[in-house]
Amino acid sequence: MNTNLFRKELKDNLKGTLITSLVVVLYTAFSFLIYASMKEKIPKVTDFYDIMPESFRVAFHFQIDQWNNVLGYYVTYFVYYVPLITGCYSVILGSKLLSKEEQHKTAEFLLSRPLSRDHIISSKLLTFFIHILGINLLAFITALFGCGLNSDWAFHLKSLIILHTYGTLVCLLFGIVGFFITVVMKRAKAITGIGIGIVLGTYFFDVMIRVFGKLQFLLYLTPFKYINLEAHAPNYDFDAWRLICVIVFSDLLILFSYVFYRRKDILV
Amino acid sequence: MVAIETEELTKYYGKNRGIIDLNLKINEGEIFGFIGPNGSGKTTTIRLLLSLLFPTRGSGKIFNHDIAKDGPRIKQMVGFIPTEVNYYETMTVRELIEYSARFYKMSFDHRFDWLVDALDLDLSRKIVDLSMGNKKKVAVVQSLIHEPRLLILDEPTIGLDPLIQNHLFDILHEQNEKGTTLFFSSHVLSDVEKFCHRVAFIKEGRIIIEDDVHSLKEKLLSRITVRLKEGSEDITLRTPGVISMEKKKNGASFLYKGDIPLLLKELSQLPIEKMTITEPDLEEVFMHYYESDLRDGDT
Repeated sequence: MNTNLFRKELKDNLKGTLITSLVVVLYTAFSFLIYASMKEKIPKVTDFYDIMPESFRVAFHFQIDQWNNVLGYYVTYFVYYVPLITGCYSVILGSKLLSKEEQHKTAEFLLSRPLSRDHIISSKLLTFFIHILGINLLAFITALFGCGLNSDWAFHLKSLIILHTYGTLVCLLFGIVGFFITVVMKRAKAITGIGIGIVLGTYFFDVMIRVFGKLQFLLYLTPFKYINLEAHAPNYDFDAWRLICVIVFSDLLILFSYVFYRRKDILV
Repeated sequence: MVAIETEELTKYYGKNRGIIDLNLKINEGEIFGFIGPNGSGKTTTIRLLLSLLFPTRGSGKIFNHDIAKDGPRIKQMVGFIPTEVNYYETMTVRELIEYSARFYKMSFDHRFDWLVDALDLDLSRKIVDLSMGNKKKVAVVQSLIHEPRLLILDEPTIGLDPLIQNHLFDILHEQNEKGTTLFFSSHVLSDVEKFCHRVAFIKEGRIIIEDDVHSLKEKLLSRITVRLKEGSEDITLRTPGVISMEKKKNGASFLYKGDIPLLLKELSQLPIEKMTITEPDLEEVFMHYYESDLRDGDT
């Protein structure tokens, strides 16, 4: 790792991370404000829930029957902002870190400094991890206060931690996929459109399969399968298979990124 | 010690030729000119030396370190001025130079005031606001900040006005006197002619000739201008080695490669009023080697 490059990258990407963090914090706070205003009326909402098509409930993770538990409510919102909003930012950041050097032709400057390609990858990846973990930590803290204030702090903290750990890992995975794609591209360019397409595409793929109830095995191809959303369940805990799948796949992509970048021709 | 050494260094971009079987040997302390037209492989060679690209086959060493394996160690000893300067646009000149210096564990301090003054560089301006020439000046400063043993220059005079070009040459001469080896890639032949000790011509990815500048000019070609007496017939020479004959009224000018007494013997048969034999400039030498038709006709 090269501290000079790391410090520059950390600073350069701060603006995007702060904006995304602000969106996430406001979105989370807003969702808990809605809960605070309606939690007394939840039994009345169940009438509406009963006439809601099953496929709609499945598609949008509506489990109103669980909304008397703050975590049961929170999961409905969580699925939109952690894997989707921060996932989109993660994939954009991951793909931008290396590609911007080639796109802006600064790769020639960077690669003629005395640092190895491994150091470049390590510095960029460390920046990526700190930014994405920072956003997810802020999301967790906001959710912590949201759940606490809406339940007089009578909620299962461990479940919230587990839920956010799943979300953070999947969020990191999206960014690592973006990073890897730009490493293997002959002429790296920002894949903002493709990146967002990957996040939203896998999400809608996940929704479609769950709604139609067929080809369930294909769910394993989407990162969303690896988040256990049953946070309100009393025996909610880490599933080893989910963690192993996400961590091993992420590690493999990181390893291949190092291997490919070591011998990559930089065509600026 | 050998500063740069390549053996059969070859680079293909897919099926497209970059450079083919490049053999170079440049000694420490030399100023080596690398001449060729656009697309001939000059920049590919430099990018291979800086390990931005990896060879298809062959090898290269800088100060005995392998260019494909020892990149960071090599770059600690190398300064680089690119053709087209692309730096981080939101940085100021000072920030960019300081950023660059930190990679070498150096600081940008008053020791470089003379360099900044000589190049008339404004440190407070943002990179995005700089002209091409001013960006080149930044490139010069950042390339020298770590006192490199080898300086690689890719078309360094492009974008610089003549006054700054002279300053640049003074700075480079000074560096060379301190022991820095200079690898000077250019298509501006006059720069290479007045500045370099040795020169290699590259054409379509291959080195077609490599020699010291004076030998190239002295041994190989002469520019001969002949004026005949009024009313003489056109000159027709049979001596082998006459190249690029330009006939004029009552005379001719041509390049000659071969035995001068043999040519003089034929010329002595003509009603010559005046004759000059001069060294050709490097451009003429280069064009002679570059235009393969001429070369083939000559050999």
